[in-house]
Amino acid sequence: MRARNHQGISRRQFAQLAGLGGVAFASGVFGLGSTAGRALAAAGDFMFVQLSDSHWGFSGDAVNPEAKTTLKRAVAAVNSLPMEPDFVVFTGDLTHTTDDAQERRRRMGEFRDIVHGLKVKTLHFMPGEHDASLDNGAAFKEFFGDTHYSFDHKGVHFIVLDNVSDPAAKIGEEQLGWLNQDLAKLDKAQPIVAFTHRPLFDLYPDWDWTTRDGKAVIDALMPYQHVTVFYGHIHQEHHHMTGHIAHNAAKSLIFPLPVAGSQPKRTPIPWDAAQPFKGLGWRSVEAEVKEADYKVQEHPADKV
Amino acid sequence: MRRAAMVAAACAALALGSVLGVVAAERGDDAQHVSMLAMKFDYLPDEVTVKKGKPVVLELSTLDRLHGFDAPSLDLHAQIQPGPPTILRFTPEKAGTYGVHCDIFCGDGHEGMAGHIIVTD
Repeated sequence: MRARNHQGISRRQFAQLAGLGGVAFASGVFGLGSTAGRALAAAGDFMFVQLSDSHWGFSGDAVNPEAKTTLKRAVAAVNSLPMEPDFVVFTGDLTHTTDDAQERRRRMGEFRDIVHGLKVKTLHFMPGEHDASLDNGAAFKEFFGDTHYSFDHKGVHFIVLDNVSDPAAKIGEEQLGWLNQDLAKLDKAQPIVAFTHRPLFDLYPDWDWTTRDGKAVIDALMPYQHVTVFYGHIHQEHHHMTGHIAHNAAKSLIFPLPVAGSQPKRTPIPWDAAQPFKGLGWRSVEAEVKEADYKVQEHPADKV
Repeated sequence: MRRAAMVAAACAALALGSVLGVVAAERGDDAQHVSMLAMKFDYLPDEVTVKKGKPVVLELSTLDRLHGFDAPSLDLHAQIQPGPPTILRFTPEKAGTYGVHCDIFCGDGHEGMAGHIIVTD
């Protein structure tokens, strides 16, 4: 595995966190993408990019006076990578919530137009609670399709889970049934990557940083040997292990949130004019899928 | 203006709640009766105080829509549906300040909808 990280985690720590035995990641900030990209281009089997929590439509100069340009800057930064990602995945909160259903669709339309400027063949979307919790995902589905699905790419099975269309932050029995069916066809050694918006584990329930029935998902994934989860929602980089399953939260593209429990309320961290875009960013992920493992047994001719 | 009217209605509802609390006390109910009213994006009041070791009857109502009530450290969880109040009964075992938040996404401001239950000795 080859890993490059720009956030102060050592290569060894990173290897412990990645879990997949072949998925590495590098968190990008504006202006660093091209350096990271060159390293990644030389390294792995394939590379994808995770963008999260762009909250298109948000306004509030105290936390991001560049709200109208931040997503566009990220698109430009991804486009400047020396190697085109195989795909870009958006892990929810594409748009900022509104009670106005028409305005919600206008924001989704604008978001879609902006991200279609990405020079990448495939885009994968999933909702956050800001996109889907007020209408159970209706508008999201009109613009971006299903809220949960799976796909295979170069030896990795990707599972997109929806833990936001139910405003109570539940995956629900129906989706859990679908997940179990999806997993049943896989070998236990199959590399799996799950994308979610909320954390599946109880990161900090006092701030609702959890999924009500996330344990059922973790239990379903636990028998599989190589599982990594990438998610958003908490607007900061965070790494956690549940057994051998690695959970990696991404930064936001609109405003950072404080470390869990570090202040009374989960209010955004104010914009720092001295360090514009501090705490914002995106992530590139290099997947280096393990080579096939062959068990060889020799048989002497006299036993024929 | 709309919010002011809602808050006024909330105060009236809370006054009614306190009357009901008195009635309950007169019935010989030994429990501590407290009420919280949920609305986008606050609880009113956002802080209630109860005594340790004495049963609490917490009456939850909503002014506008479905809200959540989650106090993980007290192991309290409820959905506050429009209509008749939701009643939670518990006996706090330990003094302290316990966070409460809405865990049903309710719009732009949901993340700030929080309060406290203070348990005193």
